[in-house]
Amino acid sequence: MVFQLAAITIWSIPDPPAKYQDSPKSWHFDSSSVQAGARSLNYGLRLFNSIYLKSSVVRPYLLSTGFWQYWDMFAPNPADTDFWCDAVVTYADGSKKIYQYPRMYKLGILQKYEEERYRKYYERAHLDKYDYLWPQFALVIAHRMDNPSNPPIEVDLRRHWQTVAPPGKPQPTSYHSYTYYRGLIDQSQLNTEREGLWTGE
Amino acid sequence: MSKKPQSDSKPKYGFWRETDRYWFGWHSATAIGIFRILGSLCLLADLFLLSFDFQTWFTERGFVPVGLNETFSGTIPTSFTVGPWVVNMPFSIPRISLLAHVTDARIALLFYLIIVGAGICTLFGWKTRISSIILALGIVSLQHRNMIILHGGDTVMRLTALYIAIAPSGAALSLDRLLAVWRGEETKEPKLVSVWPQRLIQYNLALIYFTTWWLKMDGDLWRNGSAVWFTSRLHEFFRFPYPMFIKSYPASVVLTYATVIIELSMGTLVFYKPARKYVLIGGLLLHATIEYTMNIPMFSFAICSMYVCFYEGEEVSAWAERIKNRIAKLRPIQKRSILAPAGHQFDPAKVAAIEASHPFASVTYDCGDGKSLAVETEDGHPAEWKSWAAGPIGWIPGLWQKLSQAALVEREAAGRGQKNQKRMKEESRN
Repeated sequence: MVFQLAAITIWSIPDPPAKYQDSPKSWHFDSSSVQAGARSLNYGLRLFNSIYLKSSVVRPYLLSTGFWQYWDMFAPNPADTDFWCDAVVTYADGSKKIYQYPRMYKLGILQKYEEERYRKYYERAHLDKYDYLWPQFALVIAHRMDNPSNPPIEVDLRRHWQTVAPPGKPQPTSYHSYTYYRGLIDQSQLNTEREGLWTGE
Repeated sequence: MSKKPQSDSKPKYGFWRETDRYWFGWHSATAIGIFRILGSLCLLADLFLLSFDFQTWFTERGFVPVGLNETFSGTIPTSFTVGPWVVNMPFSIPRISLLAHVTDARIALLFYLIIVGAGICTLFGWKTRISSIILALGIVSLQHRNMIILHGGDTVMRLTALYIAIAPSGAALSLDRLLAVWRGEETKEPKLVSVWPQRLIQYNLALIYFTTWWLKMDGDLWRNGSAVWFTSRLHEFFRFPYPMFIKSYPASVVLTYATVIIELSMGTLVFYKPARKYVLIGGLLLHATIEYTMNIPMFSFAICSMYVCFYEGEEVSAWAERIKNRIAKLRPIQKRSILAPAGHQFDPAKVAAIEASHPFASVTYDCGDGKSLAVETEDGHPAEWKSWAAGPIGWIPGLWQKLSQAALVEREAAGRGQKNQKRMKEESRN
């Protein structure tokens, strides 16, 4: 019981700001004022927790059992960028079509409930550090836009984004666009996608 | 059982004894039973929502095949510290996932259907211990199978499933409990259980709010009151329309500071009993606002389902009694008498089980002198086997009559049954 309480507490305590994570030795106690002292103690506690306690036996315990938890929703600051995705699908005959990845803003209320996972997936999948997800992303889109007599040969992923302006500044009215991945579709993989999923692999 | 909830009694013992009583004392299981029902409903709703795109998220033909998920989630490091020592293991402890390395979509789908079945059993409290463990294993496995699509609400639901499995969730408001009373294995008085799982849930819930508040205090947008300005303009989170003045800067400031105040209160002040009700109402308002304005399915419902754990079972029962009394004042309760035929009477244990399902205690079970089972109004007139005040068994055609029929015994056998009931009551008192 005590171990469980300690473990979930250790894991939930926020990590220190990035500058201390990158350079732990830069932390020092600031006694210039009460406020500065409290802040440095705050970061120091979190740094100690991050380096010495999170790496303890609580890590394998929580990560394996499913008790892991970290509460950083809209924290430390909420996102200020609205983004969505579509793809340009090029077919063997040179024609092109646009695939609209589910965009929550355009969906009805029931569809929003059903398809929110698409937003969450793209929230991570569009990041450069997860570029290993892009080929599969493109392949699935090719399958969804498939035409066996005129198969898709290339899928270009596009992200569209708009940054929310602070209060008092005019809000943007349009989205920026950028093609961040050009995926040539492997036809043998596309053939596999066409096979019946529920008849065994 | 004492009429006063145990937690209201003044401390009579030292600090450690009181601490022990607080964490491991015995209380009615009613609160945990309600948590089981609400939590299971949230989990089943989430499983239902996942069914629409099951192929997309949990098969090799979707966006996240097994291999990509393993790359994303990584392996748990093989080394960890124990005090000053570093322990290096020759292998990495795997995450619990019964779907690990499963690439056959049919197996994944079968697994999903088993979890849904376990969820239904847990909801109704049938074979609760085993069904809740299967549900917890299933939810953890499903989430570990695809970690890319997880949001905060998934974490809450995973913890809900785990805590339902750990707690004595079937000890109240469950078929297991009803059947145990029917068989004479338990009496109808609320079962007392050790409260430590409930304390764990309380603590974890408070930890959620406190740590998210703590991290938000690093953010200048929360400190300067403009955070909600930005979240209200993220189109991909829009749900229901709301008046434009809510998106104005002054309203954004009010909502931003209200959010941080409620979160801090939910992490601290909620344990102070005089403030508890108001803090929880604040939490409900916060999540109602989030649920209305932002598309984060199931998050608000899941986290609010844990709120009941801040009340002892006795407090929940007392609140239910007050609600029943208010309803009784607004709408007259139809009292009924169920009369056994001549030569028969009702088995006390079985009647106790049936009475447990009557929310208004408006039905009496007595001996009669008719040829068959009969139901009468309080004036002695024949009545139908239908009464809203009798609870769910009074609404389902034929069920009440069938159960009452099954509870009949001949008068000689009833004498033996009563002796058994009396002996059980004496044993439970001792």
